[in-house]
Amino acid sequence: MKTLRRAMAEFHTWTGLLLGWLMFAMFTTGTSAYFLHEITRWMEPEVVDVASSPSDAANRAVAYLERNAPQAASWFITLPDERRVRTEVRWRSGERGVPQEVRVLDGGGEEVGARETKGGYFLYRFHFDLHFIPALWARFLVGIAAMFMLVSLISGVLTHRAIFTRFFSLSWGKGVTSWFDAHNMTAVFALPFFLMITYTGLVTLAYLYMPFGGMANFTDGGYFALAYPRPPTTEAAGEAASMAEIGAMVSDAQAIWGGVPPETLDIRHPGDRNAVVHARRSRAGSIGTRMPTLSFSGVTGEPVGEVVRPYHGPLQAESVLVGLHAGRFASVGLRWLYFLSGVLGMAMIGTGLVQWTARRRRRLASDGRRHVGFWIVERLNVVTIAGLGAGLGGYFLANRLLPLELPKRAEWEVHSLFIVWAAVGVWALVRPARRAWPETLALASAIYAAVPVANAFTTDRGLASSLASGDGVFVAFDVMMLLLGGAYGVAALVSSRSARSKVSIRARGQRPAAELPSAAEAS
Amino acid sequence: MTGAALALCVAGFMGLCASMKRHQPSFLGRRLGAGASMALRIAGFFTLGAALVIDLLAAPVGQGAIYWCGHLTVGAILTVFALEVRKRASAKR
Repeated sequence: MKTLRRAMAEFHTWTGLLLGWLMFAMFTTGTSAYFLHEITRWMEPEVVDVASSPSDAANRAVAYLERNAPQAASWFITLPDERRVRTEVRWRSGERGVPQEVRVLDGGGEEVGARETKGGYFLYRFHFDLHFIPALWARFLVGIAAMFMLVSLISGVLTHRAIFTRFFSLSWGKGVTSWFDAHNMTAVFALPFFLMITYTGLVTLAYLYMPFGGMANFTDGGYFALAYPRPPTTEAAGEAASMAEIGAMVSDAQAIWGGVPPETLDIRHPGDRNAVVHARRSRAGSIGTRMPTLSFSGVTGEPVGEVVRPYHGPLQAESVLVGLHAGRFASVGLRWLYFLSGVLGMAMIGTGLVQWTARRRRRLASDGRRHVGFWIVERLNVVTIAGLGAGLGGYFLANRLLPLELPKRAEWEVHSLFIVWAAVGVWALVRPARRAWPETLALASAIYAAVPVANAFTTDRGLASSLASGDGVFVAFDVMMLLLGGAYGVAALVSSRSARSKVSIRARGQRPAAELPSAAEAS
Repeated sequence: MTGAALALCVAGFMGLCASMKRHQPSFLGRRLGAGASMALRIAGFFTLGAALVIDLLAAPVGQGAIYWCGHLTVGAILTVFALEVRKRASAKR
């Protein structure tokens, strides 16, 4: 047992470290995705909340598309729900290579000149597609990181006898012990969540990682045809016909699905005698994510067929596991519990990474040499923990500060995230680590604190007015920015204090002078 | 009802915390005997189990265990806060 525990400890140290920085980035952006739609709402302040029923919204969207895209080969409508206040319409001309047109409508069906932004969706995509590298590579990389995470969790549980004896223990200002307690606590308190989220995360991309069963048992595309059946495709008749009222189809679908409305409407050949409307059921309210699609004749408004995901045990299990991961079913309260667990995950990974350096600092320092590995880990910790934090703040700040008419504005918001992140990276490389921590954490704090200020100055939906109008999403977002600013600020103060106390120990000659590059510069 | 489950999780973890020899001096201000500690431990686990029952009954169908895990997390965090507050208070005295 003792050897097993020791082996697991070693294993945990290295599996946790090797891709820990990537895991931290995945956890951070993935956690933000629990409020994907709310973040998008904040990032599109022009879209105001006008309540409308799904069928009204559908009617207005079709009226808009009839006016603005009568010749399109297909229309795609995403209906508003409790969390999304906007109707999104897309259309395609039918020619290859012509990108879709996308417009945002408010509850009244009027086009909103919303600023160009990728909103919360970018952060959601980043947590498994990353950025700057092909999505396929990213997904493999993310899969490897998730697998490392899973074995780190299991080996961590096997390693730490202290899980129960030190339960609830926190110690302050005791170096390694403090980091160990914080790591242990954050890991244990949401352990079921971490195991679930890591395992189900792998399940979402399981077919990419393990396609062999499907390859062995199905010929080309047979697996996907079975697992993800689509409504049959239809050809246009080439004969104009007037469309039946789409709102009635939405109400019919809602009645058939026991009150659950459609989330999307896919309208093929609008205005043609063969027009078809495919309505996909909303995922709200059920854990599983694979939803049926009900098809209507666009001209008569009668249902012409329903495509139901087949009730195969494994597919149902997959659907529920993916649903557990994404948490789309969750009520607001449960969503916050998910979010809190995600934040604990960030803390667990962050404290684990810092603990690696804390454990080695004294031991390595005593032999007077420079250790490249230590240096790299120390810097990457600053880059990841302070840098990504600052970068995300920069993303939100850019949303408010970039000129509205800037070409490729949405891309520039994303670039802002990486520019800030890279700037922190450079800073972390050129400064001694003990200085880099407080400085970059203070920068992140200042950026977050600036977000609500920029919001108040550039929109009429600042914290004061959203408090007055009872706009929960905007209040929560601004308050969250202030909390993050405060948290990074406290972290900056604590790290600068500990840097100073270590310098004073060294100044008294209790440490070898040649310890680390930071020693000479700091004293 | 989820509020009740959360309250039980907080109470359950506080019971477990009070049952631990390590935390008794700072959390309770004194040490308890083995019997009292064991009673607190059993009561703590029982209370956490009661919270699961309430969550299973009150949460939307199929989501009870998910709520319970979330409530456990919050309950444990609040217990640590309470313990820290007690530690600081006793350090001042």
